[in-house]
Amino acid sequence: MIKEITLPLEMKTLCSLVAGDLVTLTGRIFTGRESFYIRAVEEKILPDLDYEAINVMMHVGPVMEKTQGEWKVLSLTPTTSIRMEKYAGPMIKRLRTRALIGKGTMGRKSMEAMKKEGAVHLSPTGIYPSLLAGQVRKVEKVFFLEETGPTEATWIFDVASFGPFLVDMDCHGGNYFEGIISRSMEQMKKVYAKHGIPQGYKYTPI
Amino acid sequence: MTYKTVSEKILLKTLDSLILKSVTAIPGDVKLCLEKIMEAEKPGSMAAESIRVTMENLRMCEKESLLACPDTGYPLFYFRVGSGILPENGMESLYGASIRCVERATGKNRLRKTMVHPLTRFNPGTNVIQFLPKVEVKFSGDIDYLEATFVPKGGGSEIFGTFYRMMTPVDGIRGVKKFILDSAQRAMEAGKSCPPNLVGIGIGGTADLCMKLAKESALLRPVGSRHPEKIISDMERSLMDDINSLGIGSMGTGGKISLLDLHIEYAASHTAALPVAFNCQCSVCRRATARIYPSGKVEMLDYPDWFGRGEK
Repeated sequence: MIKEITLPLEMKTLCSLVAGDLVTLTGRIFTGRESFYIRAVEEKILPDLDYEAINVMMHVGPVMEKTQGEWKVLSLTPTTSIRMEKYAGPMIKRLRTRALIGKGTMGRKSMEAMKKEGAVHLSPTGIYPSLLAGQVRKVEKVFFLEETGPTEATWIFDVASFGPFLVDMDCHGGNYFEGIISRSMEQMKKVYAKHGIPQGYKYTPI
Repeated sequence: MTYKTVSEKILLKTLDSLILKSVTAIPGDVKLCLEKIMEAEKPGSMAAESIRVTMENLRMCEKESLLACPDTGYPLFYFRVGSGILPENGMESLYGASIRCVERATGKNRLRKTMVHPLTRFNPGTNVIQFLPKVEVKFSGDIDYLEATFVPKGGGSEIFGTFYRMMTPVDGIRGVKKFILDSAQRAMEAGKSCPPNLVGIGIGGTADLCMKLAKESALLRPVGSRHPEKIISDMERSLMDDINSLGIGSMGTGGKISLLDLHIEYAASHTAALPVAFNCQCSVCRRATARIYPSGKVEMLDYPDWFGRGEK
């Protein structure tokens, strides 16, 4: 069953989400990727936004088109969040972002920040950029278009039934991917044995 | 030797079509494989849902000419040219034509503005900057056409699915297997490389040749193809089963199948060396190929016969 969430994401709703849930989002989100974090942290430049009202961030580089003065999303799918690991935790704390949408999962530092500050990580279940593009009702605003170009700019999207996304990290420390990864590591031991690869084999140092 | 020429106009038109086809409609061999994976996964599982929604998107993209994935990535061209074939404006025009078509497609938003300067991060907004688009050319005495392939290579599979290691002969086949297994797990966990992946392995050669073989076997050999030598094809099958047994599944959601295929190519090695390279392609394994004949006839295909083994 898919949980339908209205944005901004409230604390009560946030706490009810557990790793493995599927959700859709309706409301306003903002986007960003490396340039957003680098500019925010290293250059202290942030889009002038009400981060309480828009508290979901999507890691994405969309394909955008401007026709007759109106921006339109042609294609968007979350980009890999782990690349943002260095800065995501501090930004969650600073902006009180309640959800990050991104491909894959994040690391230990982000997980701790999410637990402490109250946030979740949402990942796509597959690759469906055209479905997601169709769920953007309106492109409300864009920041840093000139400086960073459309792929790295921060866009404000009004979305409806956006998703589905998988809650892969909840705010209680639950992680959907962790179990799959540890099972695969167990299985790997058997595969090593089958091929006569010693556990903990070290390649010849050169 | 007398040459037969391929017209510039047809070359440009064909490259335009290849870019458009590759970004909107995934190749038949890949589509078929995704359908098989969906059948293999447990109904109602997250992996089955993952493939289902990916396929739904692909159908929509093909029908409405939308991008199969916004990350159209690195623009890569592979040309295989018959010895008796010459582009109307000379061999060098293959570079010019590639650049022109990438620029044009980027202007029309068929390719995302993705290529930037690595240090300044300057984005010219054309995808044409310092050696990109990448153009590979090889020649063959056996063909009477020019075979052009365009591959938009996404970042997920390239960034998280590229590994290289120089081993020594002492590490042997077991070392090679360990490297491939470990690389696959690292690439695919939590869906970083967008599995199910088409994994390419290069063994032997210089560092650049080793990686080139890994990349080309992932990008250019069709799903289901096997290396002609038994020792290699056996290794392809066995490693594929082993990697699937890890249970990573589509987008890392946990499933029976994590690979579209696994291809190995090798080159001779220095007697003191054992280099191995790993490179993979993502589940929306985009590529498009065309054979252009001097008569003006153009044949659109799903994959090239890059290794000259008569694959068609």
